[in-house]
Formats: sequence, C-alpha cells, structure tokens
Amino acid sequence: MRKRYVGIWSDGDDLMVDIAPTLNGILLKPNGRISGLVPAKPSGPAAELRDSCAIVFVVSGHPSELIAVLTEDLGDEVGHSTYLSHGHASVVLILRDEAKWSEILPSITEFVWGYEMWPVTGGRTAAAAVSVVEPQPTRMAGLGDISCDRVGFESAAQIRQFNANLALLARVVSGYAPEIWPLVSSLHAQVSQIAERLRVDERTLSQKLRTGLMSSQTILIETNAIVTLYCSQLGSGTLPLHRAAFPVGEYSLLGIGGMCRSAWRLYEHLNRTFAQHDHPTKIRTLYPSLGPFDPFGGSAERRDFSTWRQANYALDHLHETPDNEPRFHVPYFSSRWGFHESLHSISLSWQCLYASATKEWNLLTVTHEFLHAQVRAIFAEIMKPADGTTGDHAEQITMRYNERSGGTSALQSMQVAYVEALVVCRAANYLARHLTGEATEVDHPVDRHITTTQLRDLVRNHTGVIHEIAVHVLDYRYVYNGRDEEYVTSIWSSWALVPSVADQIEHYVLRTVCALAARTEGTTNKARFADARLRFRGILVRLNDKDTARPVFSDALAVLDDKAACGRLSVQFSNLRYVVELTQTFFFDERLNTELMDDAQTEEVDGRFVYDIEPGDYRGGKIGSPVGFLLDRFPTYSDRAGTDEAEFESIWQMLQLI
Amino acid sequence: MAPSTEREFRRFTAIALVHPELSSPADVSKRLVTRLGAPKRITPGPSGWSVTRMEYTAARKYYPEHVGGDDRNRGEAGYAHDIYVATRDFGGRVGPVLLIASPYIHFLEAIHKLLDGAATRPAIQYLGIDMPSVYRSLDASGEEATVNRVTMQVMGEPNADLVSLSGKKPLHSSIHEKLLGITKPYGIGVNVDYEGTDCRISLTRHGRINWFQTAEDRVAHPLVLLDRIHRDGGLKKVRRYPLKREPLGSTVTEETE
Repeated sequence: MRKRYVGIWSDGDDLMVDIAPTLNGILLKPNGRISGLVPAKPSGPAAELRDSCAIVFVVSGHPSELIAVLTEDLGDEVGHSTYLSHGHASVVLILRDEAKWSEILPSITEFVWGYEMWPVTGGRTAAAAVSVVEPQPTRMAGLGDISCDRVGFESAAQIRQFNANLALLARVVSGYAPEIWPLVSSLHAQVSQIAERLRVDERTLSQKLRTGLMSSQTILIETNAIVTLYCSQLGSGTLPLHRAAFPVGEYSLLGIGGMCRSAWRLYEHLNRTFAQHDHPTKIRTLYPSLGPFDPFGGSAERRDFSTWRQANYALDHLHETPDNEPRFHVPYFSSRWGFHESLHSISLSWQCLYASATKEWNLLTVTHEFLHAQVRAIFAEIMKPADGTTGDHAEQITMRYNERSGGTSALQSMQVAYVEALVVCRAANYLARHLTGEATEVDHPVDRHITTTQLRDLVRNHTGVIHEIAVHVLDYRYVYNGRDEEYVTSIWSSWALVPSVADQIEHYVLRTVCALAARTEGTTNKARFADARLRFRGILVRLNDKDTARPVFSDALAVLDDKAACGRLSVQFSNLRYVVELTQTFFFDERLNTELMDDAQTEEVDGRFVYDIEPGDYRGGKIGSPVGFLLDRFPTYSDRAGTDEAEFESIWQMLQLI
Repeated sequence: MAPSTEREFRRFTAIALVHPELSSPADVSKRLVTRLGAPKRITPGPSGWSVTRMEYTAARKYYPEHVGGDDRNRGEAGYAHDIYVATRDFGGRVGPVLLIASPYIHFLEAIHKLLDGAATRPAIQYLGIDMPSVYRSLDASGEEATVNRVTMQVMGEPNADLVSLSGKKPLHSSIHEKLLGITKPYGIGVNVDYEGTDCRISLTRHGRINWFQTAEDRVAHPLVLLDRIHRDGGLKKVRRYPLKREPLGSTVTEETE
C-alpha cells in the first residue's frame, strides 16, 4: 500500500505534522486534520517525512502539465517527491528542504497558481514560518445581489441565502476553478428568473398560479441546498491549508476541490457538446415547418422503419445554430444519492473519489443520468403545441392518432409517434404480465383507438419506460460508441450494487437488449432480439467466469438461458423496438457523437483509436474528450470495487481530465 | 560499404525533437559513434534552417524487408545509412527543434532511442501538428503548397477507421463537405513548390513527416512546409513520441473530382 496520509494538529503556536499509512488518531487532537496522498509514480521509491524537510502543497490550473514537468523533466529526486491529492492542492511535494523548492520553482512557475510551504523540523512547523502564495483571482463580470424586493418573507430569506452562497462560490471559482464560472453565471440567471416570478401578491393568484408559485419556491430551496453543498465541496482545501478545515474526516486537510474540478470537466464536456447541437431547439424551430412522415413506420402489423431514415429528419441532418445559453447542473459528489440527476444538480457517487477506476464506480455511469435530462427536454419539446395553434392539444393529438394520420408537419407526426410509443410500451407491459399470469381485468391492452383520458394515463404510466429505453440507446451509441463489452460491463457492474436490480432482473435484461439492438443486424424483431441476446450473453458468460463475478451476472445469464423468460422478453422487445428505432433514427446525431469523441491525442492500436497512456504516465496535453478518455480507460479497471492501485489510478485519471 | 544512392533516394520519414541539448547536428553526431566520413552541410536550406547530411553504418536489420532480403538477419554493422539533420529555432513556445530524417523507420527509431537515452533532464519532447489548423491554413494557401490528399478519422465507430480523399483540391470536394461533421483531421498530403522544384509530403497529427526524395534538394521542401505551418500557429510541443504507432486501421480512399 503506497498511500500515505498527511496530518496536522495544533500544539501551542506550532503545528505538528505527520505522514504515515494511517493517521486517524490525529483527528482526535486539537485542530487535527488529515488527507490521503498517493505517489505520482505507481512504482519506485517515494519520499517519506524526514526529520527536516519541506512539504509544499501546489495549486495548479492544469495539474497533469505540472506533474509531467515534475516527474519527467526535473530528475528522479523531484519525481519521487511528488504526490497526488484530491484537493485543489492536487500536487504535494515532500522535499529535502526549502532550498530545493526555490531551485525547482522557476521551472514550473507557468503551471503554479499558488502554493503553501511548510518547513518541517522534528515533525514540527511554526505557523509563522509557513509560506502561502494564494492563486490570483481571475477577474469575472460582477453579478450583483438578486433583489428581495416585493418577495414574501420566506422566499426573501432564501434569496439572501442564495446571494451569500453565490458570493462565496464566486470567490472560490475565480481563484481556484475559473472554468466553472459559467455555472455561477447560469445559477445567478436562473434564480433571478425565479425571483421575478416570486414578486407577486400570493393572495391575488388563482389556485393554479399559487401552485406554480409554490413550485418556484421549492426550486429555489432546492437550488440553495445544492449550492450550499457545492460551496462546501468546491471550496474545500483552499489556501491557507494550515488554517482551514473540510468537515469530512478523511479529506479534512486538503479537501476534494481537485476532484470537483474533474467532475466539472466531464460534465461540462458533455453539456457543452449537447448544447452546441441543441436538439430541443432544432425540434422546436424546424419540425413545425418540415413535412409529415408516417409515424407508424408502415402498417402497425409490419413495421418498415426504412421510411423514417429516408425522411432525413434525423437531428444530425438538420442545421440550426443554437442561440440559447446552455443551462448547467451543479455536478457534486453524494453518498446519499449516488449517481442521480435533478433539475439543477447531477450527482456522482461519493465512492468515485477513491474508486472511479473500478468498474462498479466508474465515472461514465453519470452519463446515463445526464442523458435523462436531454431525453426529457427532447420529448417535452415534441409534446408542446406548435406556436400559433389553438384548441385542446391532447384532443388534437388523440384524434390524429386514432385516424393514423401524421398530420401536416414533422412535429405533428412525431407527436403521434410518441403516442404510438406509449401504446407499445403499454402493450409490452401487458404482455409481460399476461405471460407471467399477473395480468388482471384492468390490465387489458389499450385499443388502437384511444381517448384523451387514456392518453393522459399512458403519459403518466409509461413515459418513464420510453425515456429509459431512449436513454439506454443514446448512452450506448454516444458514450460507449457502440462498444458492447464496455457498455454491458459498465452498466451491469454498477447495477450489481443496486438491490432492486435483482428483484426486477428481467426488466434490466430487457433494457440492455434494447440498447444493444440499436446496432443489430437483421430486419425482423426475432432476428434482432436473437442477435442482441447472443452478444449480451457472450459478455455475461465472460463476466460470470471471473473470480470477481457478482451474483447479478449469473442471475441475468439464467434469464437469457431460460426459454420461457426469453419468450417473454422477445414479445416485449417486439413492442419496444419501436422506441429503439424512433430514438436511433431521429434522435441519434452522428455529428454530436463525433464531437463527443474528438481527441487528437488518440492513436490506432489493434484496430481501435486509443490514448495508449498508462497510470503514472504524464503527457501534459489536455484531454480533449473526457468521455473518450474514460471509455478508453474502462477495460483496464479492476472490479469488485478495486484494489489498492485503483485509488491511485482514480486520482491519476481524474487529474488528467483537468 | 558505400551507401547505395538509388536505394537512399526513396521515401523518407522524419520526426522533429525539442530538447535544449539537441540544437545542432553535432549534438546528434557525438551520440552516434559509428559515423562514416564528415557530416556534409546541404545548401541552400530554407531560411532559418541548417541542414546536414550524415552517413552512418549499422546492421542491415534497419532496412525494410523488401530491401534487405536475407541480409537483414545478419548482425554485422557494416551497412551505410544516410540521415539528414535539420535545425531551426522557432522561438516562442516551440523553441529550437531538431529534425531527423531517414529512409528507414527502424533506423530512425534506433537513433531516437540513443538520443533519448543520452538526454539529461528535461525529457525530450516532439513537434506535434495541430491538424485542424493545418487544414484551415492550407485550404486558403497559394500556389506554393497544394493539398492533394486528406486523411480523416471516422469517429462514431467502435473500431478504428480512416478515410482518405485524394485528387484535385480534396478540401473543397463535395465528399469532404459531407464528411466534415462525422470525421476529424488526421493527416494531410501536400505538394510543395520550392525554388522551382516540387515534392509530395505527408504529415500526421502526431508529427510524423514523410516525403519521396527524388533528389537531395527535396529535403528542403518539408522544412518549407513546417515554416508555413508554424507561421499559421499549427506547431506545438508534445510529449507523445510520433513513431509510437502507425495507423493500421482500414483506410478507404476516395478519388475526388
């Protein structure tokens, strides 16, 4: 185990310092704080605390550039003195003395934003002897406080709290993570809009408007809660370190600021790429003026999806420059939520801090959550009435559906297609229940002729399944670039830790088959199901043969090997394939996929473009595609939540992203 | 054994190194001990460049299979190999570079290994090419550099795929237009005119340079091209070794009109 902890506690005017494999005892001492360190190189000697030495905590804008110089250019002594941490001070040097720091500083000045140096003698450093050079704040446009005028008492308190939180966040961002400024700006704009909606006299509003007002208040409270948490995480580990503390024992000295920046880079890359292609805006502005298509893909009995492809209404064929500023989620770490997405936030599992280089806690899992927001936005746009239309929207859609009419525009055709998707999901659900004997009187399949009441029921009950299938298809195509092995291993490794998956194993098997069917040969449902099942099964067999196999792998394998279960899945797949084809044909964008994977650092090895970089290598160049880089790393990850090396690899790969 | 002129005038491969101890031909020759004869300065080189031809002996294993035949397996180091060394200080963030060229890629790799092993800190870096900016720059170029081939990486596929377009003005072809959104620049082939002669040169984004050397003065042409790319901001220092891998993925070549 090469991991060390650096710890500090107060002893009068002095600070006591220790570096050792375990240091929890320090947390019991006055002002005691610790943080983990791993040597920058995975093998070879690593500097230890000496009777007399200098410990330097370095804040860098691009840590991988800095580490490349330290480990490749400045000789073995410096290389072996270099450690990595989770904090903003992501590089920690244990040097023989202060003079060594003075010697190397000129070589790395361009990569150093700030630093703190502790001269240590006999395990003790005098607070007065600590040198602190704080990062120069990047000048940002002033945002100003959001006004509380004419806002109710409780909301005004929330706005005041938000103003204070944002001021704190702005200070941290300008000094330590200027790349996150668009988030600060976006939060300010979003809460300004909420505040405007709250400037009303509640007593004058109708019931419906009062409900809307309460909804705005709830969003404000949730936003405040998440910004508070984010301030705590991103603001942890700022200089001066010897005076600050992060209230999470294992990271209490250096915090997790560096990891927050890594999470932001991954999220921002996804968000920027999707925002550049802005599918919801394309649908809103272009679909109403495009001609209709056959929403049923030929007759309902025998689908012919090729007519959809000929229509060229796929989003990558439509060119429209987005004019909207992208909105942002707050990407933070959560042990309560794990990977989760809400209106203003997206969380990564806390375990990613030390195990993101394991299959179970790999960072790509967050892309599934991210894509939920994209899919939700696309379908919300589809189901909106076009500008200038009048009358009951639900009635009109229902009528067109019952007439099997694509309407007069691509938007109307897509609305009918969405209803058909709801109907087939309902049918798939019914058939599954019928085949298992769970169907009841009220479970009868929906008629091909529906009422507006049934439409509302369908939306309420089956929207989730459509979104889930669409997200799986897009995740498999965009993020995993259509790679079966990586995709199946990733989602099933993460599901292996979720108890409810084992309880609904057939449902999760079906979701996986639907995703794999997006790149499947064969035109008939039966052939496509058989092909996807075969590929899925092959991967599960390999996973299940390993010593580290999870029980859920054999559970899934049992489903795929059970004739009756496969019969049920095949029938459901025949219905859900409609959703797969709808997503694949209309919403998968090859141009977006290209941008998402674009990175000139990759090279071809054994038939694939790869980064060809190993943990402990530091090339210094900025990773162009965090998604591509993490996908490239994935096959090398350990499973069963990792090994000692996995923590080093986790920090190494996250620092590569910044 | 004297070098075989007709053999040496073939497809050359070059990489450019960036290191404070590698700024002159002497920095190379003092590390390669089996030199034959004195290095010969090639004149005239393009402005700012100093170009030298050097002759070394080494085993024939460095020859490609179709050239070396059975002799490739002999261990003697008695076969002559020519290399060219060109130096220039680009200044700014790139600094002084040393370009080494040889018709035998394995020989080039062996020379690199020797230089890398002898270099003290910092580590050797290389000249990389920002290919999107090269496409933009040469797209608008005049007569001195004509693009005759572009090679692009197809992104949205699980397996590696390169597609090449050749012919007249491939950057302006309708096929290139169609491929723009789903591919990314990987390499380029350029015909460079310099002092009344021309030379076909190809570059990859990793900094690998190739040209067909029909006469010794053609060694100037890739240097002219690098100057041009530098002028438009397309050169950068990288830590990735340019010859680490050679793309083997399926390459589809389309002739443009």
